[in-house]
Amino acid sequence: MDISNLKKAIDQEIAGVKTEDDVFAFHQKFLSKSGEITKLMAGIKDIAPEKRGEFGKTCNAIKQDTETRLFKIQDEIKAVALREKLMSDPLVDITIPRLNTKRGTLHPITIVTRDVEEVLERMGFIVEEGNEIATEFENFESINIPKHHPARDMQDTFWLSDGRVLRTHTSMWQNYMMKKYGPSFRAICPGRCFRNEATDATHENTFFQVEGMMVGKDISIANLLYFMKEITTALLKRDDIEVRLRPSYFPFTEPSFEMDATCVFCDGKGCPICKHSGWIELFPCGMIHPRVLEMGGINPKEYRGFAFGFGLTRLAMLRWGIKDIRMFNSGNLDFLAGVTK
Amino acid sequence: MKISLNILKQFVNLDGITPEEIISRFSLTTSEIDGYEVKGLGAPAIVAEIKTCEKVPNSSKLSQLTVFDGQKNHQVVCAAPNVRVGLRVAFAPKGSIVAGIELGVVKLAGVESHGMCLSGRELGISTDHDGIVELPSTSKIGEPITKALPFIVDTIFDFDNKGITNRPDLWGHYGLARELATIFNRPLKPLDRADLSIYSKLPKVPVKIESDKCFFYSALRIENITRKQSPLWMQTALFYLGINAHGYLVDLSNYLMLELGQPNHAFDASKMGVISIGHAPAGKKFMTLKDTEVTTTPEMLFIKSDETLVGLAGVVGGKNSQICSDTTDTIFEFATFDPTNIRRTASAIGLRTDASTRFEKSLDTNLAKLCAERTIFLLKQHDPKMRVASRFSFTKTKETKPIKIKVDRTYVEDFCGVKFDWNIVVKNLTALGFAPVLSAKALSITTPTWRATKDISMGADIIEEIMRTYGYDKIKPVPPTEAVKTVTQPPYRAGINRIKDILTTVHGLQEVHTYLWSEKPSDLRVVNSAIKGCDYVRDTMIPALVSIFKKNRASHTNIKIFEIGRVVLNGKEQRHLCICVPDYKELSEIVSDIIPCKFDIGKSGFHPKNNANIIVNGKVVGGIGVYVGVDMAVAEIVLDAIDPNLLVPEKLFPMPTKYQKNTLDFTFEHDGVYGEIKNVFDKFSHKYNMGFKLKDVYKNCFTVQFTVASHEKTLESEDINDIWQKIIDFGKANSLTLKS
Ligand SMILES: [Zn+2]
Repeated sequence: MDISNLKKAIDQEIAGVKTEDDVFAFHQKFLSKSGEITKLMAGIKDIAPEKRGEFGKTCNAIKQDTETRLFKIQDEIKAVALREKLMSDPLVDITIPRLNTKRGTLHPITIVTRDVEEVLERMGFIVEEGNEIATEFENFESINIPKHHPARDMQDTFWLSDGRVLRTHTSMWQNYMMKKYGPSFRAICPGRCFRNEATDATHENTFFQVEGMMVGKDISIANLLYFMKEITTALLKRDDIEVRLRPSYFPFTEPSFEMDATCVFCDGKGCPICKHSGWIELFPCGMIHPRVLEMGGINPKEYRGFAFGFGLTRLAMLRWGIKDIRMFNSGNLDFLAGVTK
Repeated sequence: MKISLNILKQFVNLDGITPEEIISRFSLTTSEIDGYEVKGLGAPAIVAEIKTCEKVPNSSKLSQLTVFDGQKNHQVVCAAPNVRVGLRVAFAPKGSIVAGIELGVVKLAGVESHGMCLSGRELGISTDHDGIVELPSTSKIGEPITKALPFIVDTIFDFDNKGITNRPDLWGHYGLARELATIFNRPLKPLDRADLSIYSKLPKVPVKIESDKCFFYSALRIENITRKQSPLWMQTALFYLGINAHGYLVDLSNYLMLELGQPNHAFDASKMGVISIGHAPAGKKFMTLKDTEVTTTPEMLFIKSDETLVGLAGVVGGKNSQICSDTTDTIFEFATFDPTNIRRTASAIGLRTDASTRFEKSLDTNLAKLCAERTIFLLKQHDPKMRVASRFSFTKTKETKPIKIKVDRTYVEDFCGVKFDWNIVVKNLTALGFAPVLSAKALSITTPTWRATKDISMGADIIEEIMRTYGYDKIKPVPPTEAVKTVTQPPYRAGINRIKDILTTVHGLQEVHTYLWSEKPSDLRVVNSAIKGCDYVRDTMIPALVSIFKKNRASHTNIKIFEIGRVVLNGKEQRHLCICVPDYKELSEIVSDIIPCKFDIGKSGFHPKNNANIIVNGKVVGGIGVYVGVDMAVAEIVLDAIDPNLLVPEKLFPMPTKYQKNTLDFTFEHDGVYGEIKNVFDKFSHKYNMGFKLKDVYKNCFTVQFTVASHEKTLESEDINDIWQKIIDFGKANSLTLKS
């Protein structure tokens, strides 16, 4: 066959390739060692020497073009075959869940506590855990709440038959932390606290707090403000938060503050949640009272420090919009399954 | 605590300052104010005069009046007994809104009434409804009532009590005025008071202090008090501040307390003998002027008149000596008592009065005399015919003295992280009543006595005063100079976190929290629990978890829960982990996953039959038990009994071998539990042993599958034969025989 006849024959026959067998047969006829294209190329010896170059190029082009076309057809044939094979699979409900799956869930308090710990660990704070049962001294005297102090009336304390108490706040752990790590350290102590009060949607006798403190040589109120701002920014995951200090009163700090942050619900514009002030009260804090330092074995003339605290239970309620504080200890598995990180 | 802007304005000019500014600046400098309410703006009346007054026929009470409002006469029917010709009244013509109702023309006993003459209650300035308000004869007819009686319009603030518990000086208007004068940089007006020294020749009121719980006691006898009603402005102010009028002397006493923060008491002098302050024998009855009976205890402090109890000191007066409508002579008491004693008494009898609330804050003993001076000043104004009949008679066991404190200026600046303009600091402290003296390096301060009872005692207190009046907003956040050190966390934390993660993510357990107390008897009880019968401090967490298990069972299948919490055993608090799952086959696997442990069968007592102790390093650290009938298996582990390093194993990812692994199955006949077989082969050691697991169990036949391989080579058949024989021999040596 000459070139034009060969081209015609290829065009004609390739249109009829429908199966893997056709592919094989076509390949044999045109592309194999004994195929028509090879035969055509063998005829180069009969060509005039000055035209051989062009003849060779044309033959190669035909060969390549034919191969490409054949492989493409072959791919299509394979795809169709695979699809046919898969279509013979039985039809399944791909949306069906596994029946009776049990998902593990962390308690919401564990989740918020870990968040807080993670933020403070990054800032070099030790995370310490304290006992839930305390002596009267630990819970009160050690943080400057002497007998007869009105603050003892405000906190309705659970008293135990052996004279000890269920700790009413994590603040009591200041004394322990100072003795263990003092004088220069940063530490937080998350934990469970107890108040003897009637429970309702916003009151619980069992709840979680975290206490934090830093003691060092030249700690100032400006340092306290710096940390409070950093912690707030990290916890609320926003970098446009403003903070401010307001005077407050706690027996274990002097001066004592409430730290307010820009209300995240209205960006400080004022809304019902912040009582239209644009600020929400976040942390009680203050400079550690000299007597508290002294009782922790730290010389207040040489060292200063600040302390802060906040409710982890309250944080969890704010974060997930939990309306009833009693859910945390309810053992209601539907509630506990609802909070997944 | 409610505070009246009108009273504050007597002492400091607050013109041009809005209530919002007062609230915001006070909250940022001193303490919170919860809000405010404007009173009297809607008072509907105008001043009018009664021109004619006749009884309405066929009515015992009603009078028919002609009331002139400066423009025209109105016919009004009125039931008040104090109507008379010439009286100026607060008149609300028809169409006015009184107590939310629009006045129309009504017919009373057949006579039309075109408006109302208002009582104190209708005007909204008191609870009085026995008669109409009598305006001064100087009131201008036709003027709106708010112009004729400007004190009707007032702004009442609601101060947060908790924020000022440590500030006894802020429990009266004068002290708050001083604070506001400082905040807004305006002068505080001096308090008008009488000079008591002019009475020093008069006889004493004999007073004897028998207990050191009374710090200071003073008395003044006043005679010929004829005034019965207090001035309308005082009644109105008291009403706005939540106190009803009770007649002049009682109102005056209350007003002085609200004005100065010094509680005081007026006795009917005709019922008083020699006054002493001391304790009473237990078990006596004392009737308060609030008509409640108090049974005396030895701790209570009483005011006695010739041994008769006439007052429960600092809390409430006695019925037997109270002011009556015909009292003309009175003995005024101005005293200071032990704050703790007052607080205890008030809380013991469940009666926290305005007086006890103030006394328990630790009052300045010097305030008593100031209050006496103010009392006489006001009495002279209100009842010029009254006569002071005694000298200012006092006795004391304690006296509040000024405190001197010196602080280093550099220290104060370092403490705050602020560079001060010290002239402003001195000005602010002076305004608060301190006497500051500035030197090159230090600031010396003498406190006023009203800040010296407990509130200010050391340098840190002075720093607070300096900083808060200077403005906390002047503090800018500054990172500490000390570098952050990498810290090593206490050992248990990582272990506990890992346990929680494995239980929730690998095994699908839900973490729960339960209460510290339980119904199950233990050595330790909460003595003042509100939940009777559930007041034992738990020594195990199992009952709480079982209770959750049961509670959720109706609505859930496959309940898998755990708690890490605290219990008290033999007086010692320890951390426990408690697990509760329905399928007992999971339990030992879960426990082994979190702690490298062995099971010692039949020793834990968790169940009479199906139980095991959990052993770590040869020590019992907990137990497991299986309750087949209820599909429940529990484990409880004392985390504090385990070396914390074991809770965070290092070798979690052993290198797998590159060579072929072989498995060898052995079926043992064993009349016991699998744990015993496991305990045996846990001890089996061979260089090609890569571990074993239970493959199958049928009756008493346990098929155990060993994986054998080497890290160096593909095992030859003689290697495999060797370990195969050694496993059999090891079993045999430990009484495990192969199934024939
Ligand atoms: Zn808001």
